Amino acid sequence: MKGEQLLHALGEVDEEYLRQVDELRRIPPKKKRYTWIPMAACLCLVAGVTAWALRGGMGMPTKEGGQANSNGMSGSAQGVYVPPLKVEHESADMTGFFIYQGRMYSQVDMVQEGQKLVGAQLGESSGTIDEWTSEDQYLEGTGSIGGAFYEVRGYDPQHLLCMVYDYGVELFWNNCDITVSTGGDVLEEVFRLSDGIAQAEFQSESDFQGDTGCTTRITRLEQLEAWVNALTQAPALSSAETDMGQCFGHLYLTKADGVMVHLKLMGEDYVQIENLPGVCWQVEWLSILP
Amino acid sequence: MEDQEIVELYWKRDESALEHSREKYHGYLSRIAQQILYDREDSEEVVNDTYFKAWQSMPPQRPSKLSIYLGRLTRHGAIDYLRRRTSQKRGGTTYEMCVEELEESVPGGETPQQAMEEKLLVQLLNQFLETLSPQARALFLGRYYYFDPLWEVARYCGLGEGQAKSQLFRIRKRLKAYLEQEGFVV
Repeated sequence: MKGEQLLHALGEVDEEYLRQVDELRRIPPKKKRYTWIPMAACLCLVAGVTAWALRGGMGMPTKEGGQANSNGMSGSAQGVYVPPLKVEHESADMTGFFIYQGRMYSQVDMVQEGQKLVGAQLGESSGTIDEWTSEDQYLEGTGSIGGAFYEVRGYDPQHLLCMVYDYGVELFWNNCDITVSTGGDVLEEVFRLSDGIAQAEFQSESDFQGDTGCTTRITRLEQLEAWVNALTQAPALSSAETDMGQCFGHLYLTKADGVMVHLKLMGEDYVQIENLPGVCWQVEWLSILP
Repeated sequence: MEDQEIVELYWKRDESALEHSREKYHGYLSRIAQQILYDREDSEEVVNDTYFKAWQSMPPQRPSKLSIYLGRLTRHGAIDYLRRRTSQKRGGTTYEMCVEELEESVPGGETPQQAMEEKLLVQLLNQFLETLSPQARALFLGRYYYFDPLWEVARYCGLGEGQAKSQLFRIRKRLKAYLEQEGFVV
């Protein structure tokens, strides 16, 4: 039996399965996202606290006496807390994550030619978590993705780790159970944007939704970096408590090493970071668009 | 016009069934063919052949979902067309990439080769698909039934391209394990 036989046999699979996929292919992407695919920050641990109990205490006191998050991110106690990810049992297998040192790292992006990013191996995920895994099995070293994970060169392993595949390097971000106070807590502490932006592109929401692939390069990088600097200073706000209106476009900031930060430009000058929908910042963005 | 009404026209041998099918599904079928053949002319030929096959098969067929029925005919037709064309021209089409990817799901071993009927394989595939979550199923069928490019499958499944790639990889591994468990080896 060869791959071609499998492909041919797939031609006769149950019509109901094909109907479901066909409907999905026709619905505009935004609706699809909310139909049954949980967004990164909305995944729910069915039984509540599971692997997070591994860590014992929730954090360390800061100099100010407030409480730092488990990543040791400093910030005022007034920052926005992003709660632990909740993983729906039905989608556990589909959410790429693993647990390391009590932190849940979720799959966020892939760098195609990212070999130079791969640092020292820190451990191995079992890959044994799936839809049927009970909550007491969400333990250190487990995850829905199996395999070795590594430091990402130039990045803090408390925030970013990676796994290596033949098609590229997958990045994993500990984007939950953290407190975000300013844009810098993410743009700088996690993604080190001060290293420099090699390439920046803008995509309108209609092109994003229509999946046209059309983007416009932003050439005024100095102005853009000044804007990013302003964003790093801006205080974090809770998305749930903010009326941002609709999304107007997307900004893709790519560093020389291939790591890309995806920003969403919302109404009323709000900005979100993809994979962190619970937090937003308000910084005028129209002036940086091409 | 609703699918049932169009099917009824086929049954009545009313040739307007073909026009209505074309009007409603030509774009949809063309896309299926093009994602296999990557050639507009060849795709057009296959889609036109689909209407002919539909005319020949209804009756006795009475599909409940005409798009799926016509889509299957087109997919089969395009794959057969590609097989005939393959000896002359090779390229990195999505179809060929999918064949290569699915080779990973083909169990290998030292046990004697077993002949199997495609019907049994289809049954097993359906059983395997049943074990997947709706998202995983959509990802798998979007890629290997519809031959949608990876970025598009990722988009309508609400995933990043990297996530889609790695999830497809895991699904293929699971399929291989499933088929091995059922005793199917090369």
